[in-house]
Amino acid sequence: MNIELFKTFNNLANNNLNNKGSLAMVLESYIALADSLGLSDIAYKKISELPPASSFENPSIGVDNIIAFSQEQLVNKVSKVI
Amino acid sequence: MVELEDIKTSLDSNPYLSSDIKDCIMELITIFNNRFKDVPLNNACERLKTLKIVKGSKFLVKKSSSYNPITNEIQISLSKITNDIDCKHILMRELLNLISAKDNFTGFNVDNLYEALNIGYTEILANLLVGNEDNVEYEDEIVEANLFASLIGSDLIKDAYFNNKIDNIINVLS
Repeated sequence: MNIELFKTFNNLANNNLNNKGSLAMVLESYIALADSLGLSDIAYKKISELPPASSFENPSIGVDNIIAFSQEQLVNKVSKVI
Repeated sequence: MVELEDIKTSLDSNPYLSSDIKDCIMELITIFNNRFKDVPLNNACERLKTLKIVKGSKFLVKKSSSYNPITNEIQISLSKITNDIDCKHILMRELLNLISAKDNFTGFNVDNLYEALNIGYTEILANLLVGNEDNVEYEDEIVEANLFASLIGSDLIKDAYFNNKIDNIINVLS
């Protein structure tokens, strides 16, 4: 189930890159993937925290958001889902 | 283990690049190495010996630039290099593609199946290393890669990118 949802998310992202979709569709599939992983709380929080587009010029935005999420938390949650 | 001096030696032996661009590349590789000391530079050292920077077709190069791992060329779309493009950022982006190149793909973009996420993560790394003072070319892809990394963890996506192993991500999701 998770892998199929990831494939959907990935394909929609590729389509969006080639102007055949939209970011909104990608985000919908992302939420579905997060739900299946039991991580919907984190997913909604991350989406709500998305900064304005101009902020991506700030070098700290990309990686800081990633580091804020603990790898250990993910592994534990994925294990519980499986 | 490849050191920065080896990178300089490779660049010095490259007959296709000017001394100015070699200095720029050396500076950016140094910035990269200072931040990611655990990422080997063997692949980069070899590719820098014969790297070319050429004009790319505006019909084939999606945005301002791309890196072709097969021909070992950074392709620049001159028509898309406008005043609002940060050239330091795009050169860093293409060097990240070079560093993570394997055979006919870069990062974890095996068989070109993961292009958007791979581009997004490359942009995130380039932003981290040198920022971006002007137009953001892959905004959606940055968002997607950032959100995806928040699900699977930064260590996993970094390992998949620099070791060319999308399977590590697939296995976690399976």
